[in-house]
Amino acid sequence: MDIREKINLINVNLLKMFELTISYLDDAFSYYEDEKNSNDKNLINDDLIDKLEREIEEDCLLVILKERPFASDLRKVTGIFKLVEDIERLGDHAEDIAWVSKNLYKAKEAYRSEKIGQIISVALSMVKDSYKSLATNNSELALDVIKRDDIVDKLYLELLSEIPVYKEKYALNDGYIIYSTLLVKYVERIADHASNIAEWSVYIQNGYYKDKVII
Amino acid sequence: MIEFENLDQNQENETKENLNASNTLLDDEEFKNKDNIVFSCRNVNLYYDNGEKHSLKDINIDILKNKVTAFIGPSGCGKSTLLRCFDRMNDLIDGCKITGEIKYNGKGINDINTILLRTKVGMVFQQPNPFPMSIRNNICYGPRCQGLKNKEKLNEIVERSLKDSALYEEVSDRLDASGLSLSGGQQQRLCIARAIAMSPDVILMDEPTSALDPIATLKIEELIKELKKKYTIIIVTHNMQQAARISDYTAFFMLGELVEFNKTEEFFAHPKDKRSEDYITGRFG
Repeated sequence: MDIREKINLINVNLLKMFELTISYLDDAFSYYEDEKNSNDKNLINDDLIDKLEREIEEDCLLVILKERPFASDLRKVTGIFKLVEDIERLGDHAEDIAWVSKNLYKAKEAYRSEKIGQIISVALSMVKDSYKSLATNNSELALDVIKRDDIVDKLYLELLSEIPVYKEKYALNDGYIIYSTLLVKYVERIADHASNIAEWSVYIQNGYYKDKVII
Repeated sequence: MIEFENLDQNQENETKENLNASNTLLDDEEFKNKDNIVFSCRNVNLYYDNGEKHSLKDINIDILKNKVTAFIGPSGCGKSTLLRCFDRMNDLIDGCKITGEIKYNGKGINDINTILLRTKVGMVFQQPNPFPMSIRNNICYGPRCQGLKNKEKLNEIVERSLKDSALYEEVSDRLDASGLSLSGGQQQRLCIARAIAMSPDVILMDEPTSALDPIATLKIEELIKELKKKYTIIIVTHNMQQAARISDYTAFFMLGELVEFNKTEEFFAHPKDKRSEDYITGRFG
């Protein structure tokens, strides 16, 4: 197998891992959206994501060791080596969201904030578009993902102030408030990881990382 | 014998205009100060076999003082040919013709006495080639040829050259042993010491480590990094990792053309020309 084939294989495995992670996030948010879904058997297997991460990291290190890549090959391998960690963290958060969602139903409150729906929608779109930017080498889309992180941060800060107000307004119990707060924190972290992935996607394509050309 | 055509004034002006269009001349501050430029090539073309074979095509490049410049490219691309232009080794090839301008410290190299030029521009070859004589005499050979007979001065040169080539510690107790009794790596460092003995400005190296094992290669590479403090080094290498490790600037040649010249980090991370990218990522060559 030559260097191109090795890097292509790493890329294919990365996209598979990312697709699996996205499907876990979809599942986790579907648990939040509907109690019926949360009663389904939990299909999120974070161990599988961890295993794929280790395999991809090992393959990247082997290419660096054996092939001594340069230029676009070096950017691809080092970029993937960095961003695979963010994908693994997304897998962790899928598990977190599933756990929080189940606890929210246990708190037996029917209330669902529209703004929480909004922040989930933006964060999930960021994850899916960061995947697309990687799969299609679209740096414009990646830059758009990075911009959207500001929207999530704004919504996150608004929700942190509003959630205690909901408690008063709708007489929500403490457990519900705690789990709602944790949920939005996890969603904010998901958006951060999507933004990181998009930054590495830009680097892989043109060498820029956070507005600076790095080796 | 070589036919070297001087440019007249009009051609020189033309050359200066072409310069601006060349993408192989760097605009960095260091290159703007003429005192920093050891060699400058302007529109250099080289033909072998009385013009039958066009081996160098419109080469424009500046070589910076006290830097390591690496020439890389596939076999037959012209990198060694250009290297040999700098000490006029191509003069020895029948049917070789060079046009354009090569300046050494601002002076056309064909206006400089060849012996003086080769004193200032030393050469180290692929295969270590010590003379079949003692270590001491290998180093004294050049200075003696220039008429130096004072033993004390010769001893000083031997010690300085061996120290500069990181060989002194290994051979100081056997300077009268044959140069051929040394290991391959030591022989190559002896050849570097022999070049240094002439107090050159520039050391040309044509694949100096390709015949050496990894440990000897590492020693030569470390030595090159030290040598650049005193000398300007131009190295031809097929080993891209070596070029990336030791050089400050890299020039990539293909089919007689200087495709790209840039700072080494930038060249290996973000080559501007697709041919450079394809070569360093192993797409061809």
